[in-house]
Amino acid sequence: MVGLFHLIAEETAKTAGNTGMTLSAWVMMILSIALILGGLVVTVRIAFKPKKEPEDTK
Amino acid sequence: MNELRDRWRSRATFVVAAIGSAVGLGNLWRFPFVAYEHGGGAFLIPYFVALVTTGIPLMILEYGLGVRLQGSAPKALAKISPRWEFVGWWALIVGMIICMYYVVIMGISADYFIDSFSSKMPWGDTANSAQTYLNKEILKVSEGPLQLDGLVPGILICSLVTWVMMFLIVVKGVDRVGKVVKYTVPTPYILLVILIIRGVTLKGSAEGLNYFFSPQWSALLDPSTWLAAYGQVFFSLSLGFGIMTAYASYLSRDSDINNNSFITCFADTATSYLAGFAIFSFLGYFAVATNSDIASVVKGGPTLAFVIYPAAISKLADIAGWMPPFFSVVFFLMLFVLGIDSAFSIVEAFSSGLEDKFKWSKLRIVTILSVIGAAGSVWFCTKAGIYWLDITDHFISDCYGLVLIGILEAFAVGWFWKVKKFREEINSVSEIRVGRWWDVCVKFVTPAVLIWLLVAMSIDKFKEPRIEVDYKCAVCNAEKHIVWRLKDDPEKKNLPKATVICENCSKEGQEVFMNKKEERKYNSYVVDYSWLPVILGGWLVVISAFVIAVILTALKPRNPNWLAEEGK
Repeated sequence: MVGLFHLIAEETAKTAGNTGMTLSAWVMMILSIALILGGLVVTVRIAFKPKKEPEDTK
Repeated sequence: MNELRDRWRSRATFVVAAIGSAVGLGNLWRFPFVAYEHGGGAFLIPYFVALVTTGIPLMILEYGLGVRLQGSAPKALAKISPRWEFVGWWALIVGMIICMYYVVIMGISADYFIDSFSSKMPWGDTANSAQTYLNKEILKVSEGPLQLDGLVPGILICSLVTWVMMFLIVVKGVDRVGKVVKYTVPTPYILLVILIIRGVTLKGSAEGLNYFFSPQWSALLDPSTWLAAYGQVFFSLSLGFGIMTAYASYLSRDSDINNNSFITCFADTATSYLAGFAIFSFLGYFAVATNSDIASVVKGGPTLAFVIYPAAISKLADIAGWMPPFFSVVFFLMLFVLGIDSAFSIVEAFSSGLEDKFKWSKLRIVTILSVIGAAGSVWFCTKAGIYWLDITDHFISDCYGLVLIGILEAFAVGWFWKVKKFREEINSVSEIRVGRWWDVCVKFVTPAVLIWLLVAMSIDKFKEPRIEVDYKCAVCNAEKHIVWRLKDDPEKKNLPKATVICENCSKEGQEVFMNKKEERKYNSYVVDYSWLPVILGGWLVVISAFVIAVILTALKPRNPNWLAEEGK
């Protein structure tokens, strides 16, 4: 998956005049984004998920 | 009871304000450089370890103190034990001193912002011309720290206007802060995205991003990488200022603590990585456009923001003439807005402390703080201001202020309070529960790492002016030399020239180009930390902060409910 993404991105970069990023740089970039944004999205979802009202015991 | 305590309008407002405070100039000009210097992509690992073992635990601790003890840092710490109150005041005073020069940096950004409204960028498109512009036109730097040589009107006016803006924001309490952060927190992200889109579509950007993301795994074996990660996490999250405790105290006692801490820390880290994209894509372009090595254009701190990046923006004129003014306006506006949330949060935290203890009106407190703050900023607006900015930053921020406060805070909670009970209390109101690892981090990991950081930074800074170069003395044939001072480079090469002086016979040698490693240790204003006036000046600031903290602790509270149990 990462390899395919890298291939597409490399071709796009070449068209724009860049030599493209290395595969290891791509992997670390995707890993960083996944870890940080993943963490942020999960915690924000937990925070703003509608809370269950406590059941009426009477 | 605490009926009169201000409250945030919503949880989201608090989280946004806390993110605004944590995210600042350091995310933009410190993180990308630190990551690049310590393993590139591999820096993610030590950074995350540091975040989990120190950043998040300390953030939970500061939020926890604010929420559960319903007070600013001095009040919350005094509730643990009156003898810890001074740590809270010390944090606020150190924060205030930092704010004095932080506002001046924002003033410099504002000055550049105004200068950006021009068809041709006045600082030129080379690192040398931009450095000359900063030194001669913006800062008008004097010969040394003791030659004040009068004020710099441009920076002074911009800094004073910034203080007026901060006064107007904080004077109405958290209600107005909440309204302002709705605009000032998202704005830098929009501007950052504009810069990223432009940056990654430039020729050479991939080379720059390679430098930022390519992992050098061997760096993980170097202790300095881990130290840099812990330092970055600590300084980036606005810990040790008492801000997070003050902000959290405006939440009700049953508010979430842990998840809010996670969100703040993740958002701060995300911003740092976003900034990395914006910085390295432009640096890659600049290196390719000027046909130079990327390593020679990678800088951190003010040199990045006010020299390299503006020069890279100017270079966009090669593509289209409208680009430099547009992206320059975007960049300097972003710098200013990034800074202002952090700056006014410091004033808000201090005003909260004074309000808690002395029950003065907000207007009175904020007026006093703004006047004192603005008066303090004037010192940094002199022609020697940049030296004193560096000296104060070194003594109060890097070494003997924030880090020491972080250590004391962790000790106070970890060793002199019921840490397990505190954790259970925090967990009882939080969506995410933290386990015993938090106790271990607060009691052992955080103090140990911060002590390590304190010692290493002190040693490193004192060593800095003595950089050895490989150069043989023509007089005595000794091979050990030290770089003595920088000189203007008449040939406009990328690396500055340095005059070397023989360590053995003290003869001044010929000028040499420094290699990249030596050059990176330099910026344009070299402060000799072994020089007595610098040491005295630095320690005067540190001791003054401590003495004022002790005086504020000793003063009798005018609030009858100062340490009373709080209601919900």
